[in-house]
Amino acid sequence: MVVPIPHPAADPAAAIYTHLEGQGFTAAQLPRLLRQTADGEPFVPLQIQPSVVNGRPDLPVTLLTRSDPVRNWDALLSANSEHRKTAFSPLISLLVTQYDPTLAIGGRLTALQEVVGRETTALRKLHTQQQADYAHTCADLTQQQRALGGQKGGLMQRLIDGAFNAAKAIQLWNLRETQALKLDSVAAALEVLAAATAAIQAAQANLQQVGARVQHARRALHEARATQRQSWVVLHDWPPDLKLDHGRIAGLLAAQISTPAAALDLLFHPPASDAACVAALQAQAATDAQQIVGNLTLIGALEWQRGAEGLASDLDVQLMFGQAVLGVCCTARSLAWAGQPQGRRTLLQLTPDGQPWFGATLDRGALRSAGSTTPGLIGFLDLTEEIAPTDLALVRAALTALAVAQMQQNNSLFVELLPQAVPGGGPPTQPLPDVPVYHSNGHGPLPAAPTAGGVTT
Amino acid sequence: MQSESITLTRYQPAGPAPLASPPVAAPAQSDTLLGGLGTFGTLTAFRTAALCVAQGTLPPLFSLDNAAGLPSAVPLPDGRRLEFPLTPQAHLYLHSPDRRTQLGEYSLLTARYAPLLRGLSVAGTYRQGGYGGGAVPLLSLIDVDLHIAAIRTHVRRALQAAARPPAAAGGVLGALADRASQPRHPLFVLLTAGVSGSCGAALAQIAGYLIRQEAGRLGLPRPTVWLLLAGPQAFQGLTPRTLVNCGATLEGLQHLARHGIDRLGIDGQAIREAAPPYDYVWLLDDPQLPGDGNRVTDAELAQFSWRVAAAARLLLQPSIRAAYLDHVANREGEQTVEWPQFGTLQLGLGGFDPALLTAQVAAELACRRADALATVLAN
Repeated sequence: MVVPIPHPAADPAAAIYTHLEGQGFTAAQLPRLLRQTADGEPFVPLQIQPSVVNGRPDLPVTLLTRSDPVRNWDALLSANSEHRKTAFSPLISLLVTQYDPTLAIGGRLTALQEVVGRETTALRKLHTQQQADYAHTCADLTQQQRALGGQKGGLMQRLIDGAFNAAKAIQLWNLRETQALKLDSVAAALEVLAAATAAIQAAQANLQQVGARVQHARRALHEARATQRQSWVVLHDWPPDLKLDHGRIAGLLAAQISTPAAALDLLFHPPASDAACVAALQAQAATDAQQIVGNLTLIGALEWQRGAEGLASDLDVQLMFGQAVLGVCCTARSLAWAGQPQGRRTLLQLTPDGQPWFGATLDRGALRSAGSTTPGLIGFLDLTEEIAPTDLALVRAALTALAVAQMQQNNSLFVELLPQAVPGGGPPTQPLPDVPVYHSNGHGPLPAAPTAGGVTT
Repeated sequence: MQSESITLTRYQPAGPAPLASPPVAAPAQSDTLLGGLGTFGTLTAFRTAALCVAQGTLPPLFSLDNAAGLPSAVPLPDGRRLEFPLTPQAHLYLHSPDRRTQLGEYSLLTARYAPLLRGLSVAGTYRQGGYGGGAVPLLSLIDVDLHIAAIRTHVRRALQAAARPPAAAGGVLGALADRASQPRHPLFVLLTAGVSGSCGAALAQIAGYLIRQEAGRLGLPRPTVWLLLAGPQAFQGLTPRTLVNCGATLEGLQHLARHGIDRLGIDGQAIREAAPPYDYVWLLDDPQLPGDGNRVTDAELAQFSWRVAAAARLLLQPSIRAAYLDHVANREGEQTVEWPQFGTLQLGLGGFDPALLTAQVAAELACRRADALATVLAN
């Protein structure tokens, strides 16, 4: 995950609280959020609705006389609690990464623990108060339930006697369900904060060990980078000819990325060894680097280069770069002609998608474009055909050198090319003169052997 | 005389414009074959393969050389190394420890080389080349003749690998599947060789013919074979034979382009074809070498090899060939040169290498994160 560099806040604790509030981890929010269904709606506990049948109250006596709440929210609270517990470790990483990067992580963990501790205290207070309210409601409801369950007379008689108040009983029963839900959700929220506190404490406990491993990793990574730079230097032979400043662009690209919160997972899952710590940091960096460079086009890279060199924005860096690639890397290496330039010329401009970037007029050919299928590169392939080798100055020099060398020993590859052969390359019409050919021991000429029928070369 | 200088403008769709090549389907691996001839050609073919791997493909590859001691791997920009397939399946080592004596064992070769070996002492017959010349192409041609049967087998195996998937079921259905998997389009074969060496120069004389002949025996359509010849200026100063070998190589190729070939091998099989050896022969050189004006350095030579490899990788790409062939398909007027298949090629590339940049960004990010973590964890 790539996280933008945050603006440091003046008060880390206040900022942390603000973030906790934004994520619903405060005492005021957490119980309510734990009571939310998957649709984001508040869970509604079972409620008894008063009803009258044939002019007489119809009471669900079995339900009404339950000694405990129905508690049909257990599964919901459990699932929501687990989700929140899981979400807290990354949140801690995010919180300690953001806000005042200069503040040491130990201090930020302490600040976070304080904020979570305050919220826990507030929740406990709320829990205590809700427990008292719940107990009071339970007592009142129990009184009604006893009245309803008494042995004296029937239901109607008890209603007439006034010992049992149906409306009140229903109200108390419904209130007990509602209060029990809130109480349970606060208890679940306390569990979540307890897990968060444990995670923070674990991170604090791991701080020293992870700190030592990161120090080692830091040295190892810097050494690895230095070694890699050496190999990159060795690899300067790799195409292309005209390279953008990879090191500079890499530095600029890397500077755009802050330390991801995921890096602080090391605090919650301490690496087993120094090597594992290095590997974890390298793996994260490799993933992010692939994403960054995968989205980088040559035009984008040229803009980074422009920025790095402080070039004016109205300078056509694409054209400038293309002209340099063509001139410095391609046509400057063209072979010299023995006389006037010859042949038919095709200049292919190679662009990532095959679409032309440039136009030009050629004397003896045309400029066309083709896709190089190589992201990040443009190029020019300059092909001239329909020429004789002797059109080239260098080939003429080579043939001259061959002619001179022939005076000392034969270098031609086919008999027909020997001076004795018939001009034009046909088979020799005269027997070839004896030539000093020797066995490997250096003695005696090889016996003459008949040429195979039809074999001339 | 130098080529004309070209001034680029930004492409304006409304004006006279270069044409974009028609879209070409991604190259199927079975449609191409890459071959390295001689030490320089082999190294360059391996480097071409490395560049292809960096692009996520690897064409079928074969190589032939009579010099031992090739490196075993080539580094990739992301830090990995591509192992050279110096296995008998991919690379054929034309080992002739005593070529002069071996030559005497075959009357056919004795007669062929008697006039050609004029002026060459026995000791001179044992000169070895490697990476830019030094030996005599004629001597390597003896090695080629001595190993012609093995070369044929090697070429045939490479063609089979390029023409169809390696895993074929046995039996009648397998045979039918084999036939069904024959390519509908001819193979494109690209060979790389140094023009100033010995083995690459010798192999270049007959490789094109052998490839076409063996393809015909396998029932494959006549392949298109291009030869990419590197040098000679890029090998300048390595040996006194740089220009001489170049002259001999081009002289031989020109002779074959004019007269075709009729050559019997010691395996009893003849190469007979009244055609030029290649559909195209491209000469790629770097006249700016050597940097000091006298002798190319190892670094310059390696850089040049990568340059040739980059050009070879592009030529293996069907869209590039299509764009080029589309342009030259309709020639105007008569061809006046005697060797129309000969041309020069030059490549310039610019930009960034994604693999290299990714590696650098990753290293930079890892360091920065370790720095940041170390700072915040310090207290």
